Amino acid sequence: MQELILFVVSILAGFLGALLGIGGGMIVVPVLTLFFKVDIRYAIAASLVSIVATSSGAAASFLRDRLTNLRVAVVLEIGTVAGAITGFLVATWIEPRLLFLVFGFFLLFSIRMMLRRRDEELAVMDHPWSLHLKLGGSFADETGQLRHYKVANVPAGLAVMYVAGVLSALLGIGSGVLKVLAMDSAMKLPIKVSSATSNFMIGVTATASAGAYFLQGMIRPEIAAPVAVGIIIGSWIGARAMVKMKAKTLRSLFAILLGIVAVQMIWRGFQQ
Amino acid sequence: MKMPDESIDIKIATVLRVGVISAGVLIFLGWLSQISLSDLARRSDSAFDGFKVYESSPLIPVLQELVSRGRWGELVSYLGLSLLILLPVFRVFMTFVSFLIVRDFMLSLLSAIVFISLLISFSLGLS
Repeated sequence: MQELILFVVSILAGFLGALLGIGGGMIVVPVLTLFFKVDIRYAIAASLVSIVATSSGAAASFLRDRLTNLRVAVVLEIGTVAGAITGFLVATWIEPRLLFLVFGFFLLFSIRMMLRRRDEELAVMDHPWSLHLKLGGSFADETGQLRHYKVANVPAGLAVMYVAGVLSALLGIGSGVLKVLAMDSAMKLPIKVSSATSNFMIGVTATASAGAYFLQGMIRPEIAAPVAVGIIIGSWIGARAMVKMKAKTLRSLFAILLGIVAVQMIWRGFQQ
Repeated sequence: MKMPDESIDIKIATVLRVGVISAGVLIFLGWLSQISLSDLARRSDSAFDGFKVYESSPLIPVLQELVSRGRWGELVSYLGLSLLILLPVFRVFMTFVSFLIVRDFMLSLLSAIVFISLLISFSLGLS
């Protein structure tokens, strides 16, 4: 019975993630740890697998639509994988309850980012099969506007990517929020390109640590299977539904909910 | 600015799409085969009891044990998970190849670095 609940919750997480541009991982990890009382390390590992799944599916769309800047992606992936390696090593040594604290504070940060981007709601999608539907209109504008080779900003972008990689490995999330920030604010890429490239890269970041967790035996099918399949299904549905729903109100409501979750995660971090 | 060959991108995209779906199906089928029997009989609270506390259990011995016990359902799930995790690795490798083809040696070198870094990252899970 609990497996089914987890499965349904994961579908919901994928759905909301696709709608609101916030990763499914940020929903799934708290649910697994706070509700199902699973050890946070198993939760993180399971979450990472589903992130690899949704990102790989999305990467297919981005390659076809040619909005991704593959060159920027390759360069930044070096930073992000280096970060993932660091994050994995830290995760091995860190006290689990600190993970709750970091997770909770990162949730608060993400909420702030999510609310700030109200007018960009389509651009910060983590699960962008829906972007594939939208790119027909806006893509024409972006052609040729590939103004990304400002060498001065690349180190800053790489640094943020490194942090994104660390957090991804540490918390079981995609860190899409940070990646878009790096490319959009630091590297001054057009927002559509930033989010496309960011989502393209998330899979590589996530798998860097997912692979390590997998070999370590932390990815357990009993948990990872319903989560991964649920999120895949949920984000697919969410991508379809996105066209019809008003994401703005939903986003505010969700921000409140996430705020409660963030506080709970932080509280849990102080408890043990 | 040289971008990789478009036809390769289409092929990569197809492999990723098919890969995610195949992996998802494998994981799902493996999962179904494990829960159908005990799921109905089980009381609500005990499903994830085994995971409340972290226990170290490296993958390879676990797989060996599953094989020796003939637990094919779980092995199918593990196969699906492996496939999923390897998809981005494949994608990075193909990016490397596609930059080589257009003779962009700098970017192909950087892609190779990403690829090797991924392998290093994986190997950390073995220690």
